[in-house]
Amino acid sequence: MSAVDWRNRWGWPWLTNIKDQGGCGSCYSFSGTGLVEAMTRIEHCVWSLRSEGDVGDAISFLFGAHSKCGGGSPEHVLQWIQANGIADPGCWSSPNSPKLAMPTPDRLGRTVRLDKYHSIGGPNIHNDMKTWIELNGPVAVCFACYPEFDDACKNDSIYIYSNPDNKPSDGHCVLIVGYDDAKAAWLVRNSWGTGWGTHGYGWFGYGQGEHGLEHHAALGVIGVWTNADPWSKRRLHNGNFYESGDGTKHRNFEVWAAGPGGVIRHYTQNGSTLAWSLTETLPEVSLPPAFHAKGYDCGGAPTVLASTYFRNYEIVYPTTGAQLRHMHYDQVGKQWSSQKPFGPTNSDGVPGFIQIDVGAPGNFEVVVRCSTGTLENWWRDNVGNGGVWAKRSSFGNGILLSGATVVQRWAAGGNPGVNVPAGLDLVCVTDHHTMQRWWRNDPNTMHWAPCETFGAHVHSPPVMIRSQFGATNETIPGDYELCVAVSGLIEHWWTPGNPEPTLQSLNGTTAKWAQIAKFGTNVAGRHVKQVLGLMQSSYGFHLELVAELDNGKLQHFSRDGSGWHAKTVF
Amino acid sequence: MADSGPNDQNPAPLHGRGCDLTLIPKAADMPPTDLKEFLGVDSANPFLRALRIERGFLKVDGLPRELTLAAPLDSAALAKLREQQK
Repeated sequence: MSAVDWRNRWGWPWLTNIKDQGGCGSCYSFSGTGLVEAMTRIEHCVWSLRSEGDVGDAISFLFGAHSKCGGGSPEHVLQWIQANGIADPGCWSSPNSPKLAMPTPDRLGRTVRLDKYHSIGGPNIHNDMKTWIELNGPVAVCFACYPEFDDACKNDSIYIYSNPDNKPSDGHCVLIVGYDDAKAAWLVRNSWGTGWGTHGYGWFGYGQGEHGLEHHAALGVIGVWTNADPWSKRRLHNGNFYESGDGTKHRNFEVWAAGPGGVIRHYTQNGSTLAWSLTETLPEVSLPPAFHAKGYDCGGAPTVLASTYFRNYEIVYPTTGAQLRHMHYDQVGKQWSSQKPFGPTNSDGVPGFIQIDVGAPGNFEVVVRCSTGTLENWWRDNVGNGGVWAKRSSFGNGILLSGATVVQRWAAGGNPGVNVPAGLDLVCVTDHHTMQRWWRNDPNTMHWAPCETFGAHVHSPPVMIRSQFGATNETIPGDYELCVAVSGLIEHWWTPGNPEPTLQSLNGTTAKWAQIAKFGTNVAGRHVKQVLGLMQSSYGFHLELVAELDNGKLQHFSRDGSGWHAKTVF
Repeated sequence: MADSGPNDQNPAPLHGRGCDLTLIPKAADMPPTDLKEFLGVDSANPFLRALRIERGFLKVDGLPRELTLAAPLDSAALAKLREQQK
C-alpha cells in the first residue's frame, strides 16, 4: 500500500494554482500544458506558469479545429511544445477565447522547451503509471466523462462511474498528480476551477474498465526533458553565476569572471559530470577614445543575465576606463557583440543589472556606485529607443560599495496592491560598513528611498537574489537571500519576500534581516575576498555561490539540506 | 457511448471538456513501457534521485559522487537551517 500526492511532497508545493477552462473545450490544452508546467517545477525547482492560450491557438490552427475551444488531444499539445516551446501567460494568455495568438515579440526567450514525451500504455498500465508518478511526476490522461462528473469528488469523495440515466459522455483530459492505495483511487487535478471537486482536485477510483483512467494511454514527461526558460529563472540568480538550459540535462552552471589583462573568462560546470572547465575567453572589444583599436577592458566583477532575447547572455561590467560596458552573446548567431561604454564616467563599483517586467522584451536596469559615493540608475528601453542606454537618476550619498543586488519587487509593472509596493530593491554598503536596502517606487515617482540597514564590518560588495523559499505558490514572492564576504568569511542573510519599503511610507514596519550562516573557513587555506555570484539551482532548491578567494581563484559553494559546503576551486 | 450533442434531455455539461477520444490510443493497443529506460536517468531533484536509486532504477556508480552525498533540502531542513545563528 502506498500513496503519492504531488500537491505537497517533502514539504514543498509542486503544482500551480488550479485553473479554469470555463466553457471552452480546451481540457486537452490544460492537461498537456499542466504536465509540462509540473515537470518543469519538479525538475528545476522553479515556478514556471505556462499559457494554455499560447499553445491552444496554434494547435487549433494546425490540427483543424475551428478554435482552441473546439477540442483536441494533449499529445498534439506536447508535439507542438516539443517543436515550439510554450510561453508564459505574460507573453500570451487568452486561454478561454477563440482569439488567435499574438504573443509578445520576445516569445522565443520566454518559452519552456521540451525534448520529448512518452505515451504510457500496455497491459501493465496501472502499475506503470503508479511507478511513473512516484518516481517522476504527474501524467496526462483522457477518459469518457459523464455529466455526473461535474458534481463529483466533493469533500474528498471518490468518483465511481454509475451513470444511472445512461447519459452520453464527452472526452475529457486531466492530470493524475497522485494516488492512494488505501482509497484505491487516483488523485486528479482538473481544470474546472477550485469550485469543482475538493478545491479543484478529486479522487477517481482505480480500474473501472472503459470508464476509468487506465483505459486510454497516458502521457508522461521525464524531468530532464524539460528546459526552463530564463524568464522563469530571472530572479533566481545574480552576479556572475547562472544555470543555463544547456547540456543534455539542461542544468549547466555558467560563470563569467574578470581575468588578468582585462579579459573575461567564461567557465562551465557540465550538468552531467559536474566538472568545471574553461569554455572561452570573451573576444576583444573596440576601445575608446577612437574605437579603432581592439583589446580588453574589464576592470571588475561582471554581472550577467540571460535575457528574453532568444535566451542571449547579457553582461555589464565595469571598464578600466571607469565606465560600464554591455556585451551580449547571440544564441542564434553564436557570437559575442559589444556596445560602446555607457554609464557614469566615474563608475566605481559592481553593477547591479536586471531585466524587468516592463516592456517586451523587458527593459534593462543598471545601478552602480560612482566614485563620489553616490549611486546612478541607468536603463535601456528595449521597446522604445533602439537599445540606447540612458541615465534615469542619481541618488544616495556616503555609499562605499554597490553590488549585484538589484531585484524587482513582485508587483512591479503596474497593479500594486495595498502593502504590496512595486519597484526595485537593492542593497549597497555604506561608508559605515553596514548594508542598506534602497527601494525604487514604481510606477509612481520612480524615486529611490533609503530603507533599513543591517550587518557590520562589511568591506566587500553583496549579492542578492529572490529565492523560491516562501513562494508557496506561483503568485507569492519568494524570500530575499543575500551573501557577502566579511573578514574572510561569507555571511548569509535573508528576509521574507517583498519587504516593506521604508520606515515612513507604510505602516511603520521595516524589513527584518536575519543572518543564518557564516561559512567559508579554511577553504584550501584561503580566505574569501568577495562573493561574485549567487543563485538557486535545479538541485532541489539548493543555493549555489561563487566567490573569489584571496589568491584570485574562484570557489564554488553549495547549500544543501545540511548547510553550506565548499565545492570545486577553479 | 458516442456524444450525441446537448439537447433537452441531455443539457450541455456544467464545465467544458474538449477531448476527442478517437485521437487517444487505447492502452491495450500500446506496447508496454520499459520503465528502466526512463527512470534509469538522473534527476536534479534529489528526492527523486534517492527514490530511483532505492527502487533499483538508477545506479549510483554512474553518478558524480557529490550528487550522491548531497543532503536533500526538505521544508523541515530549511526551517532548521534558518534557525542557525539568528
